[in-house]
Amino acid sequence: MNTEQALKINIPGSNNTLVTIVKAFVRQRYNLVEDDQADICIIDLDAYKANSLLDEIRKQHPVRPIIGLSLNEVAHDNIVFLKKPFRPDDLTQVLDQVSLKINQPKVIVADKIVGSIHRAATAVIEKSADKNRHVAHHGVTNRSDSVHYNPAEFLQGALINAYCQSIDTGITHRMEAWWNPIIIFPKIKKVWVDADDKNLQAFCRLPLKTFARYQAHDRDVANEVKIQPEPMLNTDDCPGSLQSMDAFLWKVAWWNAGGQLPLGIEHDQLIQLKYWPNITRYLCPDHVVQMCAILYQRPVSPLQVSEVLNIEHKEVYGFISAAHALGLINSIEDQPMKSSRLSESTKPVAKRHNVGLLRRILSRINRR
Amino acid sequence: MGQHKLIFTGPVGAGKTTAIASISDDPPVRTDEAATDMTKQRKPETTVALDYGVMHLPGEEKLHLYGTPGQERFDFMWDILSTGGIGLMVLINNNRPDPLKDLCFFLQRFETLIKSTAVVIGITQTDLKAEPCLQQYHKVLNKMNIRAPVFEVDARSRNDVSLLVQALLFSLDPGLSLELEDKDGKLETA
Repeated sequence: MNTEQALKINIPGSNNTLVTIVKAFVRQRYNLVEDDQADICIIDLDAYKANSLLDEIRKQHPVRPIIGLSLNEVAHDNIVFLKKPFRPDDLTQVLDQVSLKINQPKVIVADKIVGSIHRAATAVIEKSADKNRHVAHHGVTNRSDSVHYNPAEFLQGALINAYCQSIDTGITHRMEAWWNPIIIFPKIKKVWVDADDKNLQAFCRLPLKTFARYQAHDRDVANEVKIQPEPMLNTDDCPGSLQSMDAFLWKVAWWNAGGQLPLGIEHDQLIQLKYWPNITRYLCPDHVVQMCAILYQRPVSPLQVSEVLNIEHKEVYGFISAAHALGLINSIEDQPMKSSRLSESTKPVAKRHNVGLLRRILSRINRR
Repeated sequence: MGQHKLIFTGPVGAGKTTAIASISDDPPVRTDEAATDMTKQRKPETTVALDYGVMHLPGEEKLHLYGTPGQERFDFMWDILSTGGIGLMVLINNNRPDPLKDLCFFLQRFETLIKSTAVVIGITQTDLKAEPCLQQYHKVLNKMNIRAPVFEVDARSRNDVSLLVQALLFSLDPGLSLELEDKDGKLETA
């Protein structure tokens, strides 16, 4: 398509009123044309047989962008929605947005952005994984003596912002934060990123600012995290598999935490799981099921969980950080817990059952 | 020789038979018959009496895995099977017309067992239908004042069914520690 020429619009199946309105609104910037010449379609979704018309257009022109007009909020895949009534500016804004998209290449080439920093980070994780497999699995590092990390300084913070924008608008968004672009599809609750877990974990080890310094000589990183709508991007443009938004955020938070607690949660503070995470679909290292059970049953502090399970604090803190990122953690009180006894934290629900039996079943089910 | 029971329940097509087969040590016993009613639209055969599998534990102990028939007209079997169970595994088929209603129904129907033990809920077929989402299941449970683990499960996956069983065991006793069998079948704390 020649970008110097005005974009060609077709308004199929509509009465003259809509055509007149659109013509008046877009003036010389866009041309109204017949179906076979059009770059974009505008459809009145409230019109009689709009759905069948939509199906027909998609069948005949599968890649042609469609702008849907309606009085009510509607969720159609791959349609840019414009609510009626609309002002001339609203329409031209949407048309400009779609026009920009048409003139952009659709293929996402991730490697352009990451460069040497990505490779260096990958090397770090590979070295670490060789040294200590357990540590690599849990994303535990010794990068700081502090108990806390600030999610806002990591990919987690930027990702949550992007999720919020995408969910609020219902539009596919693209996020770039010094790494491979992350595409968010809010309607199907999936994300796409052109990287495997090893690369993602490597990227999660450092705050975004650190990557920014490498690449931009200490410019303000806040300005460099780009979150932008991509209304015309669909899953076909993203090679490979999509991941669940929740599962992706869960592991990003776990790895960003690096064995620390998120700001706002103290190691001796009583917390409780609101409900169990979707553990069959999330990153699920050892002890996750047990941590879920303990934190779900009653309020307990992160330190106590660590003591009961006899595992490193960092493992527990990673789990709590991931659950916190998904909004699964309830803080019970502001005061640190001092008096509650440890034994009360893990009271069996069904006393009559033989604990030995449960252990034997557990052993059996874990063994194979 | 200890004999213990673990009960799998849920509506037709939820994956009870498959889940039992995923973790049973012996080939499961099935009582399938050709479906003749509405069930026929979902699958050609359905369980009419029970599904049975077994896990062999050290010391000749056995954990019997019982799957209840999904159809309500065989509900006389439910009480027989569930008596003495160590806990309840509810599987809900997300691809049925009203899975939230199914959940309420089975939780109410097995209320006695749940009160005396624990329950875990596995949502199956979410790849075929994503809604209702887990949050909607949690809302139903809150309304019923039941706190229980709920997560997605592929009944064909041994790992998924194993996590569901583990969730039940740790719900019964969160302080449970893992013990490993040695060659003689004796246990050692891990």
